[in-house]
Amino acid sequence: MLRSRFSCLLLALTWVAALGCGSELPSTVSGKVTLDGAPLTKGTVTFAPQGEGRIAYGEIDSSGNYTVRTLNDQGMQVGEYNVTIIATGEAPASDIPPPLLTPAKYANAQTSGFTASVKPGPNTFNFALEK
Amino acid sequence: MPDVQLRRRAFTLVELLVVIAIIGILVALLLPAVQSAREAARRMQCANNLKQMALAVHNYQTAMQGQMPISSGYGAEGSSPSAQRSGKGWIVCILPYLEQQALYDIFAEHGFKGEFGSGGGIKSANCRGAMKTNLPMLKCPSDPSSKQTITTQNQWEGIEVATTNYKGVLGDGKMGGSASIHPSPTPDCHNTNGCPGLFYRNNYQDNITIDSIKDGTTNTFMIGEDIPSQNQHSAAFYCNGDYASCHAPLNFMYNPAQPSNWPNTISFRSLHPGGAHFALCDGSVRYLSDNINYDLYRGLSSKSRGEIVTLP
Repeated sequence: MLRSRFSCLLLALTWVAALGCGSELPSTVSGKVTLDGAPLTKGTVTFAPQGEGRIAYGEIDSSGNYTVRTLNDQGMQVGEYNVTIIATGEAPASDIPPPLLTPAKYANAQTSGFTASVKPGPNTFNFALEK
Repeated sequence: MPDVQLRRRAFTLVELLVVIAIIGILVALLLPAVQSAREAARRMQCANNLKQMALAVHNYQTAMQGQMPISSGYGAEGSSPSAQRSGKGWIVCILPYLEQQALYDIFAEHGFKGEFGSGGGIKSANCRGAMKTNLPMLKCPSDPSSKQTITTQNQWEGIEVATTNYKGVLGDGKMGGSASIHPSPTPDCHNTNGCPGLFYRNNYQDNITIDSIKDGTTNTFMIGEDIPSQNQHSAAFYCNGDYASCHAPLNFMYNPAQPSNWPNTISFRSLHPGGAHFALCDGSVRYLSDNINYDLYRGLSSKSRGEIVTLP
């Protein structure tokens, strides 16, 4: 009896302690970005909320895959997002903007044509860019 | 025959282990508390640094009939470039009001004349000592990276310069034209003029006074925090190292750092937990959560765009 009461208390304490660690980011988002069918090997996917919310970024790795983060935390908030995608090359000098490798229309939320409806849990969004 | 005298009072091994375990648990409980108390003290000192700078800006503008501190630009940019772009940054203007008259005098004597791009202005050889002067009041105590001078700053490659953790607020203009990953709708103005905020490298062309802050001094950012190891534009006394934009969300960072990725990293961030300090134009210093609404954050960065903003 005493032991079970003790274990109940321990369980409750662990639960309370775990509450403090709970991440507030309910969704994880990843996917693949291609340019004219071939994987885009660098760049960033930006998820900007259509209403209130936080911006999430996904850096594209050398095989075209990305996973989003919100500041330094993995994942993002649920909601409707406009998506923009940018990859840049090497800047010719220290204060000249680096050239865009992706078409300029994908850098602007009004013209990119990409939106994402992010649900709780894992999401996958693949983006196919065309020159 | 048992000898009673030999039985001494002593700890058993189990007792000793229990004591060690208890002490261990106590230390484990205390250590985070001590660390957070130390961070709280550093944060307070950081807020104080910002407060001193904001007060210096106000002392400057009072002495100059309302004129805000001026950055002199470093090239032929903007709508009305001056004949001499010395590269002097706005922080140089407030040095006399930060008890640094001697440093100011060196800049005034050698750094205010000539063209930065051709080795004049603050790039002249006579200013090298002044440029690498580390002022503790320009450093956030939570950021160990800003305490050393650095030789990789943009336009100062190979030359030792001191950095600053405190940057004037340009507004929310994009950086690097269309190459920025951040969704701010405000066009790039950093290499021209007419930015929404107060401090940018060509602000000498816009005659910004205290009366220009039409959104109200309580609703407008003046100075914010940055981390020089994240941003290669952090030279303390240089007009291209003493400002940042609110185009990126607060505390946006690369991990590992990409300091040369300037279109995306000229923004505000700190190593304090969950937010950063801003000095507002009324001289107050606020700690803002990095959870802050993006539109509100950008609204606070403009001086006269007329947004309805209330600080959280």
